[in-house]
Amino acid sequence: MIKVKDLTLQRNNRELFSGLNAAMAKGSISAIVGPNGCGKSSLLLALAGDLKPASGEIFIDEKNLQDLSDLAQSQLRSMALQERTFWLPMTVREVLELGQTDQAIEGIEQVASDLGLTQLLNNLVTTLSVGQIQRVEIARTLLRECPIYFFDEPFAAQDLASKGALIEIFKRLRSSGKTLVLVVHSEVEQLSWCDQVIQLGS
Amino acid sequence: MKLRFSLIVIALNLAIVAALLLGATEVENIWRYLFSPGFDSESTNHLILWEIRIPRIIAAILIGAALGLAGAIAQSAANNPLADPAILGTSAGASLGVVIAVLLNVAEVGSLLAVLFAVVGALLATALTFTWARTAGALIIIGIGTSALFSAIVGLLITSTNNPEIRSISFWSLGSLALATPENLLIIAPVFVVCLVIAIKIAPQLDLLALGDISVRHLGRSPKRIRLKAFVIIGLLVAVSVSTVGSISFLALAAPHIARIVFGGRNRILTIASSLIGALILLIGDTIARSALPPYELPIGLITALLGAPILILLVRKAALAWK
Repeated sequence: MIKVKDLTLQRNNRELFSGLNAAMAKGSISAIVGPNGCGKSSLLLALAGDLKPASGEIFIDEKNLQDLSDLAQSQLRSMALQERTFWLPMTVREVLELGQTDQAIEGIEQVASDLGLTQLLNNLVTTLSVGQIQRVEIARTLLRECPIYFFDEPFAAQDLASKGALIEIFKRLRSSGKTLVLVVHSEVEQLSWCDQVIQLGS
Repeated sequence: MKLRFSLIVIALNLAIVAALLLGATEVENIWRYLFSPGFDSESTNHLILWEIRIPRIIAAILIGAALGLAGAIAQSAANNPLADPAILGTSAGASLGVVIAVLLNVAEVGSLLAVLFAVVGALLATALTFTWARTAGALIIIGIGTSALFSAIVGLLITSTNNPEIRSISFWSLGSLALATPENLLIIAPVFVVCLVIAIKIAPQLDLLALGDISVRHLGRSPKRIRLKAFVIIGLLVAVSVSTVGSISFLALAAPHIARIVFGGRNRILTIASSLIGALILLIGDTIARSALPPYELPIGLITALLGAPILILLVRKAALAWK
Protein backbone atom coordinates (compact mmCIF):
# COMPACT_ATOMS: atom_id res chain seq x y z
CA MET A 1 0.00 0.00 0.00
CA ILE A 2 1.41 3.38 -1.07
CA LYS A 3 0.16 6.66 0.39
CA VAL A 4 1.04 10.08 -1.02
CA LYS A 5 0.37 12.98 1.35
CA ASP A 6 0.38 16.66 0.32
CA LEU A 7 3.18 15.96 -2.14
CA THR A 8 4.87 18.85 -3.94
CA LEU A 9 7.59 18.13 -6.47
CA GLN A 10 10.10 20.51 -7.97
CA ARG A 11 12.67 20.04 -10.67
CA ASN A 12 15.29 22.64 -11.58
CA ASN A 13 13.51 25.05 -9.20
CA ARG A 14 10.26 24.71 -11.16
CA GLU A 15 7.21 23.41 -9.35
CA LEU A 16 5.70 20.44 -11.20
CA PHE A 17 2.64 20.02 -9.00
CA SER A 18 1.68 20.69 -5.40
CA GLY A 19 -0.46 19.19 -2.66
CA LEU A 20 -1.01 15.82 -4.35
CA ASN A 21 -2.83 13.23 -2.25
CA ALA A 22 -3.22 9.69 -3.49
CA ALA A 23 -3.33 6.09 -2.31
CA MET A 24 -2.43 2.96 -4.25
CA ALA A 25 -3.94 -0.16 -2.65
CA LYS A 26 -2.24 -3.55 -2.49
CA GLY A 27 -3.19 -5.62 -5.54
CA SER A 28 -4.20 -2.68 -7.68
CA ILE A 29 -3.09 -0.94 -10.87
CA SER A 30 -2.83 2.86 -10.84
CA ALA A 31 -2.19 4.85 -14.00
CA ILE A 32 -0.64 8.32 -13.91
CA VAL A 33 -1.72 10.45 -16.87
CA GLY A 34 -1.33 14.06 -17.93
CA PRO A 35 0.28 16.31 -20.53
CA ASN A 36 4.03 16.35 -21.26
CA GLY A 37 6.12 17.95 -18.54
CA CYS A 38 3.42 17.81 -15.85
CA GLY A 39 5.57 15.60 -13.62
CA LYS A 40 4.33 12.06 -14.32
CA SER A 41 7.78 10.50 -14.51
CA SER A 42 8.96 12.69 -11.64
CA LEU A 43 6.12 11.38 -9.48
CA LEU A 44 7.22 7.84 -10.30
CA LEU A 45 10.82 8.74 -9.41
CA ALA A 46 9.62 10.23 -6.12
CA LEU A 47 7.66 7.06 -5.35
CA ALA A 48 10.82 5.07 -6.14
CA GLY A 49 12.83 7.23 -3.74
CA ASP A 50 14.98 8.86 -6.43
CA LEU A 51 13.53 12.36 -6.25
CA LYS A 52 13.22 14.10 -2.91
CA PRO A 53 9.85 15.83 -2.41
CA ALA A 54 9.93 19.63 -2.05
CA SER A 55 7.28 19.05 0.62
CA GLY A 56 4.88 16.32 1.65
CA GLU A 57 5.46 12.67 2.36
CA ILE A 58 5.30 9.24 0.78
CA PHE A 59 4.46 6.18 2.88
CA ILE A 60 4.92 2.58 1.85
CA ASP A 61 3.15 0.14 4.18
CA GLU A 62 2.86 2.92 6.79
CA LYS A 63 6.63 3.55 6.68
CA ASN A 64 7.98 6.91 5.54
CA LEU A 65 9.95 6.33 2.34
CA GLN A 66 12.65 8.76 3.46
CA ASP A 67 13.41 6.64 6.53
CA LEU A 68 14.04 3.50 4.48
CA SER A 69 17.57 2.54 3.46
CA ASP A 70 18.47 1.96 -0.20
CA LEU A 71 18.57 -1.76 0.50
CA ALA A 72 15.16 -1.77 2.20
CA GLN A 73 13.71 0.25 -0.70
CA SER A 74 15.24 -2.14 -3.23
CA GLN A 75 13.34 -5.04 -1.66
CA LEU A 76 10.06 -3.13 -1.91
CA ARG A 77 9.97 -2.10 -5.54
CA SER A 78 11.18 -2.88 -9.01
CA MET A 79 11.07 -0.19 -11.68
CA ALA A 80 11.23 -0.08 -15.47
CA LEU A 81 12.70 3.17 -16.71
CA GLN A 82 11.34 4.82 -19.84
CA GLU A 83 14.54 5.33 -21.76
CA ARG A 84 17.50 3.07 -21.84
CA THR A 85 20.47 2.98 -24.12
CA PHE A 86 23.15 0.33 -24.15
CA TRP A 87 26.56 0.74 -25.72
CA LEU A 88 28.16 -2.39 -24.28
CA PRO A 89 27.97 -5.48 -26.50
CA MET A 90 26.09 -7.63 -23.98
CA THR A 91 23.48 -10.18 -24.99
CA VAL A 92 19.86 -9.76 -23.90
CA ARG A 93 20.35 -12.69 -21.52
CA GLU A 94 23.44 -11.05 -19.99
CA VAL A 95 21.53 -7.80 -19.43
CA LEU A 96 18.62 -9.67 -17.83
CA GLU A 97 21.04 -11.43 -15.48
CA LEU A 98 22.57 -8.18 -14.19
CA GLY A 99 22.15 -7.92 -10.42
CA GLN A 100 19.55 -10.72 -10.27
CA THR A 101 19.34 -13.52 -7.74
CA ASP A 102 19.85 -17.13 -8.87
CA GLN A 103 16.13 -17.70 -8.47
CA ALA A 104 15.33 -14.74 -10.72
CA ILE A 105 17.80 -15.97 -13.32
CA GLU A 106 15.92 -19.28 -13.47
CA GLY A 107 12.81 -17.32 -14.47
CA ILE A 108 14.43 -15.66 -17.50
CA GLU A 109 13.06 -18.17 -20.06
CA GLN A 110 9.50 -17.71 -18.81
CA VAL A 111 9.60 -13.89 -18.69
CA ALA A 112 11.29 -13.77 -22.10
CA SER A 113 8.57 -15.98 -23.52
CA ASP A 114 5.82 -13.79 -21.97
CA LEU A 115 7.35 -10.70 -23.57
CA GLY A 116 8.23 -12.20 -26.95
CA LEU A 117 11.97 -12.00 -26.29
CA THR A 118 12.85 -15.70 -26.53
CA GLN A 119 14.33 -15.42 -30.02
CA LEU A 120 16.37 -12.40 -28.95
CA LEU A 121 17.99 -13.81 -25.78
CA ASN A 122 21.35 -14.38 -27.45
CA ASN A 123 21.27 -11.21 -29.56
CA LEU A 124 23.34 -8.19 -28.57
CA VAL A 125 21.29 -5.44 -26.92
CA THR A 126 23.08 -2.95 -29.14
CA THR A 127 21.26 -4.47 -32.15
CA LEU A 128 17.70 -4.12 -30.77
CA SER A 129 14.97 -1.66 -31.72
CA VAL A 130 13.65 0.87 -29.19
CA GLY A 131 10.54 -1.24 -28.60
CA GLN A 132 12.60 -4.39 -28.03
CA ILE A 133 14.92 -2.60 -25.58
CA GLN A 134 11.86 -1.40 -23.72
CA ARG A 135 10.59 -4.98 -23.43
CA VAL A 136 14.02 -6.06 -22.16
CA GLU A 137 13.77 -3.33 -19.51
CA ILE A 138 10.27 -4.52 -18.54
CA ALA A 139 11.51 -8.14 -18.42
CA ARG A 140 14.39 -7.06 -16.17
CA THR A 141 11.90 -5.36 -13.87
CA LEU A 142 9.52 -8.35 -13.78
CA LEU A 143 12.34 -10.81 -12.94
CA ARG A 144 12.73 -9.18 -9.54
CA GLU A 145 10.28 -10.43 -6.93
CA CYS A 146 8.90 -7.32 -5.17
CA PRO A 147 5.53 -6.24 -3.75
CA ILE A 148 5.51 -3.05 -5.86
CA TYR A 149 6.24 -2.50 -9.57
CA PHE A 150 6.68 0.85 -11.32
CA PHE A 151 6.59 1.22 -15.11
CA ASP A 152 7.42 4.48 -16.86
CA GLU A 153 5.57 4.60 -20.20
CA PRO A 154 5.70 0.83 -20.79
CA PHE A 155 3.60 1.11 -23.98
CA ALA A 156 5.49 4.02 -25.57
CA ALA A 157 7.22 2.04 -28.32
CA GLN A 158 5.00 -1.07 -28.40
CA ASP A 159 2.74 -2.28 -31.18
CA LEU A 160 -0.87 -3.28 -30.44
CA ALA A 161 -0.09 -6.99 -29.91
CA SER A 162 2.75 -6.28 -27.48
CA LYS A 163 0.61 -3.73 -25.69
CA GLY A 164 -2.14 -6.31 -25.26
CA ALA A 165 0.34 -8.88 -23.96
CA LEU A 166 1.72 -6.33 -21.47
CA ILE A 167 -1.74 -5.49 -20.16
CA GLU A 168 -2.37 -9.21 -19.57
CA ILE A 169 0.93 -9.47 -17.66
CA PHE A 170 0.02 -6.44 -15.55
CA LYS A 171 -3.40 -7.90 -14.73
CA ARG A 172 -1.78 -11.19 -13.74
CA LEU A 173 0.57 -9.36 -11.37
CA ARG A 174 -2.39 -7.59 -9.83
CA SER A 175 -4.19 -10.91 -9.25
CA SER A 176 -1.14 -12.15 -7.38
CA GLY A 177 -1.42 -9.19 -5.02
CA LYS A 178 1.20 -6.89 -6.50
CA THR A 179 0.81 -3.12 -6.52
CA LEU A 180 1.44 -1.54 -9.92
CA VAL A 181 1.90 2.12 -10.79
CA LEU A 182 2.30 3.07 -14.44
CA VAL A 183 2.90 6.30 -16.26
CA VAL A 184 0.91 6.14 -19.49
CA HIS A 185 0.00 8.38 -22.39
CA SER A 186 -3.41 6.84 -23.09
CA GLU A 187 -6.85 8.40 -23.10
CA VAL A 188 -8.59 7.88 -19.76
CA GLU A 189 -11.37 5.86 -21.54
CA GLN A 190 -8.79 3.28 -22.63
CA LEU A 191 -7.70 2.66 -19.07
CA SER A 192 -10.73 0.76 -17.81
CA TRP A 193 -8.46 -2.18 -16.91
CA CYS A 194 -6.75 0.06 -14.32
CA ASP A 195 -8.20 0.47 -10.83
CA GLN A 196 -7.56 4.19 -10.69
CA VAL A 197 -6.31 6.99 -12.88
CA ILE A 198 -4.30 9.80 -11.33
CA GLN A 199 -4.60 12.88 -13.50
CA LEU A 200 -1.78 15.39 -13.20
CA GLY A 201 -1.59 18.93 -14.53
CA SER A 202 -5.24 19.38 -15.46
CA MET B 1 36.13 -17.90 -26.47
CA LYS B 2 38.99 -20.26 -25.53
CA LEU B 3 40.23 -20.20 -29.12
CA ARG B 4 40.25 -16.40 -29.16
CA PHE B 5 42.15 -16.27 -25.88
CA SER B 6 44.62 -18.87 -27.16
CA LEU B 7 45.20 -16.86 -30.33
CA ILE B 8 45.99 -13.73 -28.35
CA VAL B 9 48.33 -15.60 -25.99
CA ILE B 10 50.10 -17.15 -29.01
CA ALA B 11 50.38 -13.71 -30.63
CA LEU B 12 51.84 -12.33 -27.39
CA ASN B 13 54.43 -15.13 -27.31
CA LEU B 14 55.38 -14.49 -30.94
CA ALA B 15 55.70 -10.79 -30.13
CA ILE B 16 58.01 -11.64 -27.22
CA VAL B 17 60.24 -13.73 -29.51
CA ALA B 18 60.33 -10.92 -32.08
CA ALA B 19 61.13 -8.39 -29.34
CA LEU B 20 64.02 -10.57 -28.12
CA LEU B 21 65.49 -10.89 -31.62
CA LEU B 22 65.01 -7.32 -32.85
CA GLY B 23 66.87 -4.23 -31.73
CA ALA B 24 69.45 -1.63 -32.65
CA THR B 25 72.23 -4.19 -32.08
CA GLU B 26 72.14 -7.76 -33.29
CA VAL B 27 72.77 -10.28 -30.50
CA GLU B 28 74.49 -13.41 -31.82
CA ASN B 29 73.75 -16.74 -30.15
CA ILE B 30 70.76 -15.11 -28.49
CA TRP B 31 69.12 -18.40 -27.44
CA ARG B 32 72.27 -19.53 -25.68
CA TYR B 33 72.40 -16.27 -23.70
CA LEU B 34 68.73 -16.63 -22.96
CA PHE B 35 68.59 -20.23 -21.76
CA SER B 36 71.89 -20.26 -19.87
CA PRO B 37 71.75 -16.94 -18.00
CA GLY B 38 75.28 -17.41 -16.64
CA PHE B 39 76.80 -17.82 -20.14
CA ASP B 40 79.47 -15.24 -21.04
CA SER B 41 78.05 -12.93 -18.42
CA GLU B 42 80.64 -10.18 -18.90
CA SER B 43 79.91 -9.71 -22.62
CA THR B 44 78.01 -6.88 -24.32
CA ASN B 45 75.58 -9.43 -25.74
CA HIS B 46 74.72 -10.64 -22.25
CA LEU B 47 74.32 -7.08 -21.08
CA ILE B 48 72.07 -6.09 -24.00
CA LEU B 49 69.84 -9.12 -23.55
CA TRP B 50 69.53 -9.28 -19.77
CA GLU B 51 69.97 -5.65 -18.73
CA ILE B 52 68.23 -3.87 -21.58
CA ARG B 53 66.03 -6.00 -23.80
CA ILE B 54 64.37 -8.37 -21.31
CA PRO B 55 63.52 -5.69 -18.70
CA ARG B 56 62.11 -3.59 -21.51
CA ILE B 57 59.97 -6.44 -22.83
CA ILE B 58 58.64 -7.05 -19.32
CA ALA B 59 58.01 -3.32 -18.94
CA ALA B 60 56.06 -3.20 -22.23
CA ILE B 61 53.93 -6.18 -21.22
CA LEU B 62 53.24 -4.89 -17.70
CA ILE B 63 52.56 -1.29 -18.67
CA GLY B 64 50.51 -2.26 -21.72
CA ALA B 65 48.46 -4.60 -19.52
CA ALA B 66 48.10 -1.92 -16.81
CA LEU B 67 46.85 0.67 -19.31
CA GLY B 68 44.55 -1.84 -21.03
CA LEU B 69 43.05 -2.75 -17.66
CA ALA B 70 42.76 0.89 -16.54
CA GLY B 71 40.97 1.79 -19.77
CA ALA B 72 38.51 -1.10 -19.47
CA ILE B 73 37.65 -0.15 -15.89
CA ALA B 74 37.40 3.57 -16.75
CA GLN B 75 34.89 2.90 -19.52
CA SER B 76 32.78 0.60 -17.35
CA ALA B 77 32.93 2.89 -14.32
CA ALA B 78 31.90 5.93 -16.35
CA ASN B 79 29.47 3.82 -18.42
CA ASN B 80 30.86 5.69 -21.39
CA PRO B 81 32.83 4.38 -24.38
CA LEU B 82 34.90 7.57 -24.54
CA ALA B 83 36.18 7.44 -20.98
CA ASP B 84 39.87 6.70 -20.61
CA PRO B 85 42.47 7.76 -18.05
CA ALA B 86 43.70 10.55 -20.34
CA ILE B 87 40.21 11.98 -20.83
CA LEU B 88 39.13 11.65 -17.18
CA GLY B 89 42.20 13.65 -16.09
CA THR B 90 43.81 10.67 -14.32
CA SER B 91 46.97 10.69 -16.47
CA ALA B 92 47.45 14.48 -16.20
CA GLY B 93 46.94 14.22 -12.43
CA ALA B 94 49.59 11.51 -12.19
CA SER B 95 51.97 13.64 -14.29
CA LEU B 96 51.45 16.62 -12.00
CA GLY B 97 52.18 14.45 -8.97
CA VAL B 98 55.49 13.28 -10.45
CA VAL B 99 56.51 16.74 -11.65
CA ILE B 100 55.88 18.22 -8.21
CA ALA B 101 57.86 15.39 -6.57
CA VAL B 102 60.81 15.91 -8.91
CA LEU B 103 60.79 19.70 -8.75
CA LEU B 104 60.68 19.61 -4.95
CA ASN B 105 63.70 17.30 -5.11
CA VAL B 106 61.98 14.69 -3.00
CA ALA B 107 61.93 11.94 -5.62
CA GLU B 108 63.35 10.81 -8.97
CA VAL B 109 61.28 9.70 -11.94
CA GLY B 110 60.39 6.04 -11.47
CA SER B 111 61.12 5.90 -7.72
CA LEU B 112 58.61 4.57 -5.23
CA LEU B 113 58.09 8.06 -3.81
CA ALA B 114 57.36 9.43 -7.29
CA VAL B 115 54.79 6.66 -7.72
CA LEU B 116 53.14 7.73 -4.45
CA PHE B 117 52.99 11.35 -5.63
CA ALA B 118 51.56 10.12 -8.93
CA VAL B 119 48.90 8.09 -7.11
CA VAL B 120 47.83 11.16 -5.12
CA GLY B 121 47.73 13.32 -8.27
CA ALA B 122 45.86 10.68 -10.28
CA LEU B 123 43.24 10.10 -7.59
CA LEU B 124 42.81 13.83 -6.95
CA ALA B 125 42.25 14.65 -10.63
CA THR B 126 39.87 11.71 -11.15
CA ALA B 127 37.92 12.58 -8.02
CA LEU B 128 37.61 16.21 -9.18
CA THR B 129 36.28 15.12 -12.58
CA PHE B 130 33.62 12.94 -11.00
CA THR B 131 32.70 15.54 -8.38
CA TRP B 132 32.39 18.35 -10.89
CA ALA B 133 30.41 16.30 -13.41
CA ARG B 134 26.87 16.18 -12.09
CA THR B 135 25.59 13.90 -14.82
CA ALA B 136 27.09 11.01 -16.73
CA GLY B 137 26.75 13.09 -19.90
CA ALA B 138 28.92 15.87 -18.48
CA LEU B 139 31.66 13.48 -17.45
CA ILE B 140 33.68 13.51 -20.66
CA ILE B 141 33.64 17.26 -21.20
CA ILE B 142 34.46 17.96 -17.53
CA GLY B 143 37.21 15.32 -17.72
CA ILE B 144 38.72 17.06 -20.73
CA GLY B 145 38.60 20.28 -18.69
CA THR B 146 40.28 18.72 -15.65
CA SER B 147 42.89 17.12 -17.88
CA ALA B 148 43.63 20.44 -19.62
CA LEU B 149 43.91 22.20 -16.26
CA PHE B 150 46.38 19.68 -14.80
CA SER B 151 48.37 19.45 -18.06
CA ALA B 152 48.65 23.25 -18.18
CA ILE B 153 50.03 23.33 -14.63
CA VAL B 154 52.51 20.56 -15.56
CA GLY B 155 53.61 22.56 -18.62
CA LEU B 156 53.99 25.78 -16.63
CA LEU B 157 56.01 24.04 -13.91
CA ILE B 158 58.33 22.42 -16.45
CA THR B 159 58.97 25.62 -18.40
CA SER B 160 59.37 27.93 -15.41
CA THR B 161 62.17 26.22 -13.47
CA ASN B 162 65.87 25.64 -14.03
CA ASN B 163 65.92 22.26 -12.32
CA PRO B 164 68.54 20.02 -13.99
CA GLU B 165 66.17 17.07 -14.01
CA ILE B 166 63.89 19.07 -16.27
CA ARG B 167 65.30 17.46 -19.41
CA SER B 168 64.44 14.02 -18.18
CA ILE B 169 60.94 15.22 -17.34
CA SER B 170 60.43 16.78 -20.76
CA PHE B 171 61.48 13.53 -22.40
CA TRP B 172 59.35 11.53 -20.00
CA SER B 173 56.26 13.63 -20.65
CA LEU B 174 56.33 12.30 -24.25
CA GLY B 175 56.39 8.72 -23.01
CA SER B 176 59.18 6.20 -23.54
CA LEU B 177 59.74 2.66 -22.33
CA ALA B 178 63.51 3.33 -22.39
CA LEU B 179 62.93 4.98 -19.02
CA ALA B 180 61.79 1.78 -17.31
CA THR B 181 64.36 0.18 -14.99
CA PRO B 182 64.29 -3.28 -13.35
CA GLU B 183 63.61 -1.48 -10.04
CA ASN B 184 60.50 0.10 -11.59
CA LEU B 185 59.29 -3.32 -12.64
CA LEU B 186 59.42 -4.44 -9.03
CA ILE B 187 56.89 -1.70 -8.25
CA ILE B 188 54.69 -2.10 -11.34
CA ALA B 189 54.37 -5.90 -11.25
CA PRO B 190 52.78 -6.26 -7.78
CA VAL B 191 50.55 -3.20 -8.30
CA PHE B 192 49.27 -4.63 -11.59
CA VAL B 193 48.65 -8.08 -10.11
CA VAL B 194 46.78 -6.69 -7.10
CA CYS B 195 44.70 -4.38 -9.32
CA LEU B 196 43.86 -7.22 -11.73
CA VAL B 197 42.74 -9.48 -8.88
CA ILE B 198 40.55 -6.73 -7.39
CA ALA B 199 39.19 -5.85 -10.84
CA ILE B 200 38.19 -9.46 -11.50
CA LYS B 201 36.56 -9.54 -8.07
CA ILE B 202 34.49 -6.37 -8.57
CA ALA B 203 33.75 -7.14 -12.25
CA PRO B 204 30.10 -8.14 -11.60
CA GLN B 205 29.57 -4.81 -9.81
CA LEU B 206 31.13 -2.93 -12.74
CA ASP B 207 28.72 -4.81 -15.06
CA LEU B 208 25.78 -3.38 -13.10
CA LEU B 209 26.83 0.19 -13.94
CA ALA B 210 25.73 -0.46 -17.55
CA LEU B 211 22.16 -0.15 -16.21
CA GLY B 212 22.71 3.46 -15.14
CA ASP B 213 22.88 4.85 -11.61
CA ILE B 214 19.13 4.88 -10.91
CA SER B 215 18.68 1.20 -11.72
CA VAL B 216 21.83 0.25 -9.78
CA ARG B 217 20.41 2.04 -6.73
CA HIS B 218 17.09 0.29 -7.28
CA LEU B 219 18.95 -2.99 -6.95
CA GLY B 220 20.08 -1.86 -3.50
CA ARG B 221 23.67 -1.16 -4.58
CA SER B 222 25.57 2.10 -4.39
CA PRO B 223 26.87 3.21 -7.79
CA LYS B 224 29.14 5.74 -6.10
CA ARG B 225 30.80 3.08 -3.98
CA ILE B 226 31.37 0.85 -7.01
CA ARG B 227 32.89 3.77 -8.90
CA LEU B 228 35.10 4.69 -5.97
CA LYS B 229 36.68 1.24 -6.02
CA ALA B 230 37.15 1.55 -9.77
CA PHE B 231 38.86 4.95 -9.41
CA VAL B 232 41.34 3.69 -6.88
CA ILE B 233 42.32 0.87 -9.27
CA ILE B 234 42.55 3.22 -12.27
CA GLY B 235 44.54 5.72 -10.19
CA LEU B 236 47.04 3.09 -9.06
CA LEU B 237 47.51 1.58 -12.52
CA VAL B 238 47.91 4.92 -14.27
CA ALA B 239 50.17 6.25 -11.51
CA VAL B 240 52.66 3.38 -11.79
CA SER B 241 52.79 3.58 -15.56
CA VAL B 242 52.88 7.37 -15.91
CA SER B 243 55.46 7.77 -13.15
CA THR B 244 57.86 5.30 -14.78
CA VAL B 245 57.45 5.71 -18.54
CA GLY B 246 55.37 8.87 -18.95
CA SER B 247 52.07 9.33 -20.76
CA ILE B 248 51.37 6.79 -23.48
CA SER B 249 48.23 8.00 -25.17
CA PHE B 250 45.45 6.09 -26.93
CA LEU B 251 46.32 2.59 -25.68
CA ALA B 252 43.94 2.72 -22.71
CA LEU B 253 41.12 3.82 -25.03
CA ALA B 254 41.76 1.34 -27.85
CA ALA B 255 42.57 -1.88 -25.95
CA PRO B 256 39.21 -2.26 -24.16
CA HIS B 257 37.24 -1.48 -27.32
CA ILE B 258 39.15 -4.11 -29.28
CA ALA B 259 38.76 -6.56 -26.37
CA ARG B 260 35.02 -5.90 -26.12
CA ILE B 261 34.38 -6.54 -29.79
CA VAL B 262 36.34 -9.80 -29.62
CA PHE B 263 35.23 -11.04 -26.16
CA GLY B 264 31.94 -9.25 -25.36
CA GLY B 265 30.98 -6.74 -22.71
CA ARG B 266 31.17 -8.67 -19.42
CA ASN B 267 33.86 -7.16 -17.22
CA ARG B 268 35.25 -10.39 -15.78
CA ILE B 269 36.48 -11.50 -19.21
CA LEU B 270 37.07 -7.95 -20.36
CA THR B 271 39.56 -7.11 -17.60
CA ILE B 272 41.78 -10.04 -18.62
CA ALA B 273 41.25 -9.60 -22.37
CA SER B 274 41.91 -5.86 -22.32
CA SER B 275 45.09 -6.41 -20.27
CA LEU B 276 46.34 -8.98 -22.79
CA ILE B 277 45.52 -6.80 -25.79
CA GLY B 278 47.12 -3.75 -24.15
CA ALA B 279 50.27 -5.80 -23.48
CA LEU B 280 50.31 -7.10 -27.06
CA ILE B 281 49.90 -3.68 -28.69
CA LEU B 282 52.49 -2.00 -26.47
CA LEU B 283 55.03 -4.80 -26.91
CA ILE B 284 54.69 -4.81 -30.72
CA GLY B 285 54.67 -1.00 -30.73
CA ASP B 286 57.78 -0.73 -28.59
CA THR B 287 59.65 -3.34 -30.63
CA ILE B 288 58.91 -1.32 -33.78
CA ALA B 289 59.73 1.95 -32.00
CA ARG B 290 63.22 0.82 -31.01
CA SER B 291 64.16 -1.30 -34.05
CA ALA B 292 62.59 0.37 -37.10
CA LEU B 293 65.10 3.20 -37.55
CA PRO B 294 68.19 2.30 -35.49
CA PRO B 295 69.85 3.94 -33.72
CA TYR B 296 66.95 6.37 -33.38
CA GLU B 297 64.00 5.52 -31.21
CA LEU B 298 60.55 6.51 -32.41
CA PRO B 299 58.04 7.95 -29.90
CA ILE B 300 56.05 5.00 -28.57
CA GLY B 301 52.75 6.94 -28.48
CA LEU B 302 52.89 7.40 -32.24
CA ILE B 303 53.52 3.72 -32.90
CA THR B 304 50.75 2.48 -30.57
CA ALA B 305 48.36 4.89 -32.30
CA LEU B 306 49.52 3.72 -35.75
CA LEU B 307 48.99 0.10 -34.70
CA GLY B 308 45.89 0.41 -32.55
CA ALA B 309 43.90 2.96 -34.55
CA PRO B 310 43.43 0.89 -37.75
CA ILE B 311 42.50 -2.23 -35.73
CA LEU B 312 40.05 -0.17 -33.67
CA ILE B 313 38.49 1.55 -36.68
CA LEU B 314 38.17 -1.71 -38.64
CA LEU B 315 36.64 -3.65 -35.76
CA VAL B 316 34.19 -0.89 -34.80
CA ARG B 317 33.14 -0.49 -38.44
CA LYS B 318 32.62 -4.24 -38.75
CA ALA B 319 30.68 -4.35 -35.48
CA ALA B 320 28.54 -1.41 -36.64
CA LEU B 321 27.69 -3.29 -39.85
CA ALA B 322 26.64 -6.35 -37.83
CA TRP B 323 24.39 -4.12 -35.71
CA LYS B 324 22.40 -3.05 -38.77
